[in-house]
Amino acid sequence: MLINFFIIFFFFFSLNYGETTSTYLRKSISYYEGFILQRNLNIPKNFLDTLFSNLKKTIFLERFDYNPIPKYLQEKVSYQMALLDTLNLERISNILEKEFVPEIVKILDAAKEIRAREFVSREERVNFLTTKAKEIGVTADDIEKVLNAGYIFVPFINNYSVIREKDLITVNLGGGLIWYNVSIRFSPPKLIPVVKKSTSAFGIANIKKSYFTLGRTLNAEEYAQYSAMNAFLKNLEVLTKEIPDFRLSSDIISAYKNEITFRLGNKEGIKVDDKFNIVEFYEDEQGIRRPKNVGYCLVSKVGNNKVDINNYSIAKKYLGKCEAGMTLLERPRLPIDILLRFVILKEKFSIDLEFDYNVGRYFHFPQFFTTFNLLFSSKKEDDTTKIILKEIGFGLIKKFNISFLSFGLEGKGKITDEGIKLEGKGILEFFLLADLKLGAKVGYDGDINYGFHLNYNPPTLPFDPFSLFRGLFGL
Amino acid sequence: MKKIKTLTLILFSIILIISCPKRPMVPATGEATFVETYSPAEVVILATGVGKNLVEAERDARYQAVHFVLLGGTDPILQREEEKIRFEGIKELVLNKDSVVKFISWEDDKYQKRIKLADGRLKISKLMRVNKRILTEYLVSKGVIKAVEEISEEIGTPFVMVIPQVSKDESPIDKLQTSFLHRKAAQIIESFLTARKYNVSVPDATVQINELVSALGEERKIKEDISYLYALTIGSDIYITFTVDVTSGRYGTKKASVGIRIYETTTGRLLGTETGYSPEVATTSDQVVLESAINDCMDRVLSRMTNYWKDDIKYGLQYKIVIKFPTGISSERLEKMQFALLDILKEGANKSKENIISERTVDLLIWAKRDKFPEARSIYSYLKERFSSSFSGYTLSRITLNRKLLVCEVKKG
Repeated sequence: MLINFFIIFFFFFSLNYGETTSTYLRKSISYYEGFILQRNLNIPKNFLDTLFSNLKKTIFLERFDYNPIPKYLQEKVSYQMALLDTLNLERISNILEKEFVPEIVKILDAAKEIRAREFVSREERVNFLTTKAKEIGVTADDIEKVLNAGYIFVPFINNYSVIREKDLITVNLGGGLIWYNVSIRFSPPKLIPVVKKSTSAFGIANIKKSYFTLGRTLNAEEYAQYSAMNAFLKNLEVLTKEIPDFRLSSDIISAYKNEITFRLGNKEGIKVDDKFNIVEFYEDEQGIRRPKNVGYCLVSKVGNNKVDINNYSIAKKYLGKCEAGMTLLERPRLPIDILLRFVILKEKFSIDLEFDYNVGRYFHFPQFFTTFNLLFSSKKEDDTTKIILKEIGFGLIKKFNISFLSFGLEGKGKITDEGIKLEGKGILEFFLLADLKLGAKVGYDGDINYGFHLNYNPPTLPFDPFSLFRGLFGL
Repeated sequence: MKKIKTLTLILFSIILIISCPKRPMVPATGEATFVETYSPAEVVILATGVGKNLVEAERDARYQAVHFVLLGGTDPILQREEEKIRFEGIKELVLNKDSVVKFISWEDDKYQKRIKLADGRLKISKLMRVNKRILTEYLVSKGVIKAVEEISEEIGTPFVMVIPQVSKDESPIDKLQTSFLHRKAAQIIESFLTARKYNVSVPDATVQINELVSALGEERKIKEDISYLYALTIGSDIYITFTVDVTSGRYGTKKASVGIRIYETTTGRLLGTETGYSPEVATTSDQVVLESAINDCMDRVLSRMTNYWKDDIKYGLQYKIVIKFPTGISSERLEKMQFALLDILKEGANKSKENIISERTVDLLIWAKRDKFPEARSIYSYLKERFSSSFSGYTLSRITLNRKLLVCEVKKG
């Protein structure tokens, strides 16, 4: 039985990952309503409920359709899952295969033609069947893609701890998702494990403080949970987007100078400033084809392909090269830039840690950030040099990208050891790597300051910087 | 000294081998494959182009698509040797990587494939729709091929009969009347033929073949080949039979397949067989998949037919002549009569082919000069006149006469 399971597992991998598709095919998902908890984890019930409800919001990405599982089946599975105390993939698979798969197959069968319309390629939309015969052009192959595009995720938690130290409380949270694919290649359909993705995060809060968040006041533990959950879910979102089956991809329709036109849009949930790798396929001397990243681009305009499938999106290349026919492959990253800045301030050397949140992506305004920074400086006291927090700043940044260069303006208010100040800054950056920029800022707050920085856009972070900052300082 | 020379030679050989790196197997140029007949005028080709950059690879792909329609595949536009020779003279005007674009009516903006080859060149594949009609008209205007009108001028308008293929016990006319799919298939084939300016006929119940059956009754198995009888009765130059099959595909889809056969009417010779398949499509309509399947093969069918037709220009109009002889004539006189009739016919025709020469029947094909014998009636009057003057006391009278067939008998007195 175990051997069969692994044969199926590897068979699936060889089928899916050996193929190179240049256009994302929409998937549909279901889920197990609950978490599989590792034995001896003592997690508050209300936190688990909040976590699950937010997890659903996070994972129900717009690139997915949703196959709802009836409540009675969820309860039936919950009962059987509750008996599991380890992440036994085979046993989970067996339970889901028995209870969920027949229902999912029914749902997929009912919705197959409507969903298959998504898979009718553009060239099929202009052939005889669609133009002259006025048919939708859905073929059996398209339907088969729909039937094989059903996935189930099972959330699990394998780490939860609460540590109290002095005035601080730290909540550590670890877990992830196990993804299964409903494969109708087998008769009866089977559930094939695709991937297990896990991450961990932590949140910190001051025991003596309370925190006003999401319209209510949270105590320290609740806030630390909230902070850890935020980071955990953001990481899971990126990790899910990174799964090859779910990773958005599209052909470049046209490329003029640095501007790339491609077919994805708001139906797939892309946002401005989403990153994509530009991929070219190379054939070696043995005739084997391998993809290679030849460039990187940022989405600058999102097409409304919910209304019009020919409303394309536009991205701007910032590194490498691009040409029509190359493939864009999603490069999921957190919408946060971390800057480590070396500043010369009144002839003194300081280090600035800055976190830029890309908020423009939520209202289609590219390269617009809210920023907060902590500036540390050295101070001599009684013949000893101490590192002190010299400044906390909050502000807004707007950047303009031209090829590999990025120009920006920043306006901020800051609390310093000399009082509250306003500051304006000019920014110049250039991309060294896909996620790394080298830059310089010149600021004026009555005095001129300048410095050089490295700007990194991470895929995951074990904490949410702003929540952590609030937690530490009790704000 | 000799050792030094040998060593130098070995060393030189080694350096030579090392300095010649292994070159990968790469295609010299692109390729093309037929995808579908989009309309009677256009075909969709999947063309692959190779070039040092995208622009060059695209130009090569367009060149390959037009080249395929002109000279590639099983049924290209240019098939005959003299056409190919004439084409050489204007090749640069048509198959020039810059000028082929005028024959491409649509180009997909999606690349089916884009690969950087080991030698640094780029290979792309994309779908293109080549306007075969414009290309053919251009070749006609340059005198490379003949237009259908021109062919018609020479040997008359080709006349094609379309009829379903049925089993021995069935009637094709009944099939057309009772089966919607067969009627629809005949209409679709007709639309392709009329778009190429062929005269088309789908027989109906008014066509009577009984007379012909009795006239040709001696021919073996003639009663069994009902399509042939209909074609001869109508007098078509070519007849097309078809079979249709619509089946249920996977996941409630439908799939159609059609088999199309082209025959020469006078002989019943099979000129070509093609099968077309539709994709498995989610549709409630059988006729949609049927039309898709016919589209899949009709271009090849028409190409075979046109080429057959062009070949026939060389010899003239084709007629089937059947002459029956009465009993009570001595075998010597009968033989004399038969030989004389054959000589008279051969004298007037460009080419002839004897099918059956039996005691009572002479059955042959003739290719007659169009100016001299524009129709079967003129052959009949020529034959009647010459025969009467050669054999007094005997006359030739007509049993059946139509566009392609003359059946007559020798009578005493």
